[in-house]
Formats: sequence, structure tokens, C-alpha cells
Amino acid sequence: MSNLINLCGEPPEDYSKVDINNDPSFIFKIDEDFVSRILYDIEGNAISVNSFQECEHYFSGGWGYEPSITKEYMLQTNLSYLVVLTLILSLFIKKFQFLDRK
Amino acid sequence: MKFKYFLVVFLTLFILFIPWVHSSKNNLDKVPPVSQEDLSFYEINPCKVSFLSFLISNPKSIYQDHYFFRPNDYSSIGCFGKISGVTHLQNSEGSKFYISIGTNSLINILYQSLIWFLILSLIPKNKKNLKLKLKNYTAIGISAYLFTFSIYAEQRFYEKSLYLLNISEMKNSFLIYLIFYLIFLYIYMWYETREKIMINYLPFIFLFVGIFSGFNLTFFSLIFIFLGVQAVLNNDINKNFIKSYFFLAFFWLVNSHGSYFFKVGKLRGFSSSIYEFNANLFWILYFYLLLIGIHSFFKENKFYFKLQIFSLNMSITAALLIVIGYIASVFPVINFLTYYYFGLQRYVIEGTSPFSYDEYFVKVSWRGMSQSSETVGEFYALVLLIILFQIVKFKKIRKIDKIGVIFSGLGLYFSDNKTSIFLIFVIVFLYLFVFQNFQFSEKILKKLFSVLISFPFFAWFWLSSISTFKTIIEFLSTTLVSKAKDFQVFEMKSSFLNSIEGFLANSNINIFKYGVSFLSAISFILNRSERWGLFFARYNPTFLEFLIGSGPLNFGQLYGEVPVQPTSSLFLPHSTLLSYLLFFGIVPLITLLIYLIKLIFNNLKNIEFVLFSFFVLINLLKNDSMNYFSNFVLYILLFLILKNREVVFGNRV
Repeated sequence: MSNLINLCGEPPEDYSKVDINNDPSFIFKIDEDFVSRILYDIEGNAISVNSFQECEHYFSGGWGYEPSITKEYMLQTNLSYLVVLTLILSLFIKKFQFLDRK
Repeated sequence: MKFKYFLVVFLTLFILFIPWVHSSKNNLDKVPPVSQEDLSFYEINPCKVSFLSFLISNPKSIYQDHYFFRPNDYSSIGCFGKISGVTHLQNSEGSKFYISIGTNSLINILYQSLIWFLILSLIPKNKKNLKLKLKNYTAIGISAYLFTFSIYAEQRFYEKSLYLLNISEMKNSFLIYLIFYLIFLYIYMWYETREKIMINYLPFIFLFVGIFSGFNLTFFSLIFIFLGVQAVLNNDINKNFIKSYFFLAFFWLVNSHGSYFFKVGKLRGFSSSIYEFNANLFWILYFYLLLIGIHSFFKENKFYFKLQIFSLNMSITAALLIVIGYIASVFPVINFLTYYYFGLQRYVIEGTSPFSYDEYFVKVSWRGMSQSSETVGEFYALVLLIILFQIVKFKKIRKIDKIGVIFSGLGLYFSDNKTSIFLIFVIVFLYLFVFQNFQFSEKILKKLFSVLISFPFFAWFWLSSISTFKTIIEFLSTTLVSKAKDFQVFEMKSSFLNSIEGFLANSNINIFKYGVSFLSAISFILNRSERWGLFFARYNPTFLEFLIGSGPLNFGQLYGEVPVQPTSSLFLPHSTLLSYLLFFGIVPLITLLIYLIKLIFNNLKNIEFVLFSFFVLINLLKNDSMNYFSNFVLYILLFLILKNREVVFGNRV
């Protein structure tokens, strides 16, 4: 996950953190000075945020992934599987008779 | 059979071209050509256009010399084979476009290995089945671990080429380990199932240098290291060598203080990128296993050595080096593909004609696809030498020998390596007109050799004592130190330069004074005063380091300890002897030199061995050849081959 400042920018000068918890009736105020951003979760779902407060809230809830980075990690994991699969196939294909059966 | 042949050709072409043709430009209507005015398309669409689509949209980039294709190793896996960026530069030389192509390092190591394994697979098999024993698994595991450790040890180098892959994290190290494990498994499979005729194909390592893009490793070194590990596990090693080496290694490691980064440049693949404990440990083990591996390779291959095939391959390599080098220097696209598929240290020389002269009518050296013009010049001279041995042995000139002579002669001229040109003329004269026509007894040869070896020292001593030559001798004696002082920054002086100045000033220590002034004169004669002077200005050993060095293949300390005046390029010491003085110190170096001279002295009837050693030793004095993997391996193996004369020439002595 990226860090908060990278994703949401610097907090406004008068910013103080509000404890929102899971209040379903809480409405985020739009900050006109805040350039709206899109946040992503681990599965690639996107949400648009319009204030630093909203951004921070979603970030702390796990919406701090950058798709390109997540994709790269996923590709690296897939590459690991591919290497393991190739290794297993190379070692156990009968043609090579690798295992010493003496 | 035909179907199989077509299948192999199709598969090879498919593997060669597939990375460069896929793209993610579904949403893009058209790929516009690059222009000085507008590159915005490529700025907002990185990693979406395939290399091939780019070439189709920009056909001029295939042949115009202001386009430069560069691999971007620090790019994502998904970006592999696509255009990751385009930059336009306008300077006094005109307008230039640098097109960066995504070449993720992790994919590189797998993909380039695959290509080079395909080439290696051309060597015919002699075994169909293979049994893998516990010892083989252990050798593969140890080798893979060693190279994974190298990535960890040189993190500062790899953080610029491994995209989003922190090697300190366990899962990432494990991925690297698995990749190396796979490569070593295939190395084992390849080596064990093939005929041991690889030694005849050795010249091709000058063509396929085999350096992984984004790595400080050479593919072919993995083979020798693996053989080295196997030899150690089989206890097939010289006990005295291991004792002496690890005695030195203990001091090198204890002495590894500080951290000095070294930009490897054209030494990539055969030089540490940092002087630190871990990196030093890796390169100490690497060098040891490489030597053991080369020896083991020689032992298994020597009976299959065939001078005709070896010289044929030398000729083919020389011809291909020039032809491919020239084509790649003209076509930017081929330049990039050559760099990538041949695993070169540097891009092929761009925009310089092999026939060009500067404004003072001095020949401009042309290196083609090699890393250094001087080093490739040495190779061409060596090709001529081997062809000469071949012709004399078989008393027959083949077509390929003529081709080899023409291309090597051209190569020598292009590289403008004057020493090699001179040496090859001397050797041809000695070999054809002296040693072939006159029979010398061993006693006479030994006397001649002793005179030749001691002549320069006595001549210098004699000249020094004649007052007529006083001015010129004084100039020659001090030229090296005065060049070194030119590079000095303020009062910061290296310990070596300080000591030398002390020796020269103190007339009581005659032996050192004489030695330094002799070296200085040699540097002037060989046109090395500036380069060696720079080495003296940088070389800052403690007394212990001067005696036993600071560890193999590590220039970090030399380039990091003492600041010198800015230089226009890396400026290597241009002497293997000086490099090895840094690595191993004066005691092992002199021991090795005495051993070599003794070996030559005892094999004077083996003319080919003596002439080859003479050629190599002179070149080692004035060139960095042994700091390049290809030269290192070829010279050691040729030395072993020619020393064992019966391998090449039967028992004709």
C-alpha cells in the first residue's frame, strides 16, 4: 500500500481528524481546494474522493492501492508460479528420467 | 525430419519476435509518428504501444541515425517489449530521439537465458537420459543461492534495475532463487547431455557476451561457476591452491571496511558494483569457483579439442563481429536487438565509420559491437595467431582461413590496436622464418630467453649511468609521477603516490627508485603515462593491501577513496597488471609472474605456447583484457590448451 500523503496529498492547514467510525449517516463535505482523486482497493474497485477527510477515511479502510503497483505484484506472483511449474515439469517429466531409481 | 526442422525454425522465430509485437493499444485509434513538436501521445500512453507498432508508424527510425533505442530495465513486467517513453534532445549535434523500450529485468533473465540455451542446444547430444543425484541437486542449490546472494550483496546496483522488487523481502529473494535454480537445472541438463566439444566453440563468447540486461552477471559465467561448485563437491580441487586463496580471502574480508560504489560501465558482468563486505564475499567466491570451473571444463573437454574447428570458429567469430557490428552501427533497430540478444556490455558504436580519421589524420578506433576497441583488436590478432598455427600444423590453407585472415586484418585496422599489429608481425616473423627454419637446442633457447627477459632491465640500468642521457632519463623517470600529480585534487594525495615520491626523493633506496623510474619509462614507451598516472593518483592502499590486495574484481575502493580531477570517462588503469595489483597485491602478483616465467622457461621447445604467452603478457601489461569475462576465459583456456601441447599438436616436440 502507498502512504497517505502520496495518495491524498498534504492535509489542509486547519485540518483536524474527526472520528467517523461507521456512522452510515455521515456526509463528507466537498473541499473545493481539493483535486478529486480515485482510490482503489486490493481487488481493483475504484472510488472517487472529494476532500482530504474523505480520502483519509477510505485510505484507512484499505483503499490505498495503486492499480499499477498491485498489477506488478500480481504479475510477479504469477511469474513465481510459472517458474515453479516449469521446475516441477522439468524435474518430473519421464523423458529425462531425472530421479535416480537405483 | 523436415517437419521437425520447420517446427524448430518456427519456434525460434516465434520466441525471438513475440516480445516485441504485443501491445495494449485497444483503445488507441492510431499510433502517431514521433516529431520534435509533439510527443504527447507517447507521454500519456507509456507501455501501451508495442515495439513493432512503433516501427510501423515510424519506419524512418529503422535506419536514420538520430533515433536511439534504449532498453528500460526498470520497467514493469507488463511493459515488456513496449515503448515506455520517448525523449527528444536538441543539441549542437542536431536533433535526437531516444526511444525507451520496456525490458523488465526479471523477464530479461528468463528470456535471454532461453535464447542462449537455444543457441547452446546446437551442440549435439551424446546422452538421452540423465539421472539427477543428490550431489547434483546440491550443486544446483548452492549455485542458485550464491547468485541470489549476489543480488542481495549489490542491492545498490539492482535497486535501479529491479522494478518494485525489494530483494530484502523474503518472497522476492525466493523468486530470484527459483529463477536461478531453474537456470542452473537447465545448465546441468545441457552440460551433462552434450558432447564435450564445447571448447571448440569457445571463440563465440566474444560474439555472444551473454550479459543479462539489468544484471551485473554473465550467462556463461553461470556455467563455469556451476562446474566449479560441482568440482568442489567432488573434491576435485588443488588443496594448496584452496589453502593459499582462502588465506588471502580471510584478510580481504577482514579488511572490507566502508562502502564505495563503482559504476561498472563496460566492465558489467565481471566487476563488483560496490566495495562492501557482502559484495567482496560474493566476488571472492565467484573468482575462486570460476577458476576451478574453467579448470574442470578444460579437463573434461581437452581431449576433444580440434585446432581446425577452433580456428574455423575464431574466423567465423571475427567475420561476424565486423559484419554485425557494422550493420548494427548503421541501423538503430538492429543496434538495440544486437545489444539485447548478444548480451553486450555497451551499445554497438553509433554513427562512426570504421574507416574514419580525425582532423589530424589520426585513425579513429572502431570497436563495432565489442566493449573496447583495444580488447577486440587483441582478439583479432589472436585469430591471426591461431590461424597461423593451424596452417603450419596442417600445411593447408582453407577458404575459411583466408576469410579469417581478411576479416581479422580488417578488424585490427579498424580497432587501431598498434601494439597488437606490431606483435603479430613480430610473432609471424619469428614463427615462420626463424623457428620453422632453424632448430634451436633447449640450452640455446634458455639462454636466449634469459637474455631477452633481463635485457630491458640492464639496458635501463646502463642508460641511467651514462651522463649523455641524463636529461632524457630524468624525464622518463618522472613522467608517470608528474602525470599522477596532474590529477591530484588540492593536497589530497594517495598513499601510493606519496610513497613513490618518497622513494624518488630518497636516493638511499636505490632499488625502489630504479624500479619506479623503469616503470615510468615503460609507461611512456607504451603511451600509458596518463592512464597509469591516474591509477597512481587513485591507488591508496594500506601496507597490508599493497602486499595482498583488497579482493578480486572490485574497483570500488580505487574509484571511491581518493578524489581526483574530473575525467572525461571511466578511465580504467589500462593494465591488467595494475588492476591485479589492486585485487591481489604485490606478493601474489610477483609469485604468479615468477610462476608464469618459470613455466615458459621450462616449455621453451613448445614454440606456440611461448609465442602465445609472449603476446598475452605484453598485452596484459598495457590493456585491461583480463577485466573482461570473454578474454579472461579464452586466455586461460588457450594457455592451458597450448601448454598441453599434445592436445593440439600431438607429440611433435
